[in-house]
Amino acid sequence: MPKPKWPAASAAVSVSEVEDPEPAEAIERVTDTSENGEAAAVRHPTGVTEKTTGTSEVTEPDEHQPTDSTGRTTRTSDDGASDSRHPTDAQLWRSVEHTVRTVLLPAIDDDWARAAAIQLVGLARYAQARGGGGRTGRVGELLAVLDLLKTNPLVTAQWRGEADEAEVHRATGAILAAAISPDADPAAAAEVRSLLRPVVMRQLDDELKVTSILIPYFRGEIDA
Amino acid sequence: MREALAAWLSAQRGDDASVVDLRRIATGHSRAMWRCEMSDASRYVVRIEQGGVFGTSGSDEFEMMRLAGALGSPVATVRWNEPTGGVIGQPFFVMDFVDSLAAAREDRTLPGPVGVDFIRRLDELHRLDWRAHSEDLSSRFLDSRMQNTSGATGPSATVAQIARWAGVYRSASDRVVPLLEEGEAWLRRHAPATERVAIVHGDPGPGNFLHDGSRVVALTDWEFAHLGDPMEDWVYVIAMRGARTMSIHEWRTLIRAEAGVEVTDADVRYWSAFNFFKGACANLTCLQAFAGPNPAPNMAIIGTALHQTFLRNLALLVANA
Repeated sequence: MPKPKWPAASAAVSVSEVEDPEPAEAIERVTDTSENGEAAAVRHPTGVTEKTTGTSEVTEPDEHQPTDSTGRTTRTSDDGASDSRHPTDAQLWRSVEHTVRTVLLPAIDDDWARAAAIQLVGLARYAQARGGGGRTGRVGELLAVLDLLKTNPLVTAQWRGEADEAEVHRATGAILAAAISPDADPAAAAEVRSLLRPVVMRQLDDELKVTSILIPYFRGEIDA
Repeated sequence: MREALAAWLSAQRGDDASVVDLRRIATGHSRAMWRCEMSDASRYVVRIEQGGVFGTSGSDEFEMMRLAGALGSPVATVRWNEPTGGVIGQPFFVMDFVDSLAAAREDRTLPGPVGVDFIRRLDELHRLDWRAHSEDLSSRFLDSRMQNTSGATGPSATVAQIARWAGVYRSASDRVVPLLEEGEAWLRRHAPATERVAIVHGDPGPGNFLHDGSRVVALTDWEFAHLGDPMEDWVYVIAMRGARTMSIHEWRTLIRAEAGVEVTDADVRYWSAFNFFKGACANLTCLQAFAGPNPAPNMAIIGTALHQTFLRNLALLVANA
């Protein structure tokens, strides 16, 4: 699977307040031939796409989107097709689901094979439903809270303002753990629990909203 | 696989009996289970690792089953262990097939006499005198801190298990999971004193034992077995594997009556958090396996949806403590 050529997150952004601290030369131009006919969009290294109409929105780098040898995006529409000659990712997954469900499953008697086929239907549904996953937005959201808490001693002990995804998760975990310690300043720990922790919990819930569609298939419930 | 397994079985048995039937049993995720029938009517179960799923070892499971069986616990007789992966691509061991009336894994119904016998057998497991075999066990299952204190009391046995599962998570994941870090800190801070270090099954309850309609004939699925606090097992039965079988109150009453063990609200809270932590850590290994040697769909589901469900339950318990 090709990796996105931009970092997962590199700026302290929130979903409602987009900032771009990256140098202008790092901004790439991405040709957009999506279904609504918009001609062009500017994609920042943070994953923020600024449409040429002047509006801005946070988008998720598509890990499925291939790049050429220079790292340039070669497929541009949202549903994974470069043009009408090729099926989209969504169409391919739908075909997998449909074929397993209507052709293969009725022909399978073996219990373990049936269980695996039903789970495969679930994976195909999940692949169609999950979209980009919103990783960049989630990291940006955590960064915004960490920045808000930058005078909290539990935060200053663990975070120096680093913005990359791994460091944000490491710092967030260490801060939540430190807030558990009996030695933690009670006010600082309470602040972490009231401001940082709810964001982490809500992000987990957001992920579960998508992944939980897999559960019935895991249990063997094909008609869920 | 069939030819390689047949040749290996023949070597272990020292005869020329052949494999006449080999089919996968539709149960379990951490191990592939194959029912194997030989030309002399011997029947075995071949239990095959699945690319490091759950961070557990078939060899450890084999040794724990062998010891538990020797000490009198109802266990399928283990025969031979192949730890290298060199025969069929994954490590495996072979045990005797046990005839039983066990329902399907997802059927958590429990006839009354069987429930009583299950509680008694689990209690017996917890009371086995494993110290007579401590040389066999210590290198595999005892943390050095426990050896230094003779595994007596204090939270060391539980802390060792917390460290074990945190290690499994960190070796399986290339990024920190903040709520697991918090959960680990909370579990360490609140680890209760262990009254008695015992053989803990680690995954007991309906679906993980075989019965004949009135008695338990074998406890199964020993991959999580270790030395630790028996309360881990009791709360696992009450709050996780047996949660759909009867209410917490009914389980507590049964355990009190048959094992003389009082499971308090504090026990349920702490050990539920521990078991969700254990599950959330172990489940991450499935994503690692999915990306590597075991791209089966159940691996992706366990590594995402199930991991996140366990993580959420852990986080809610920590928040409400």
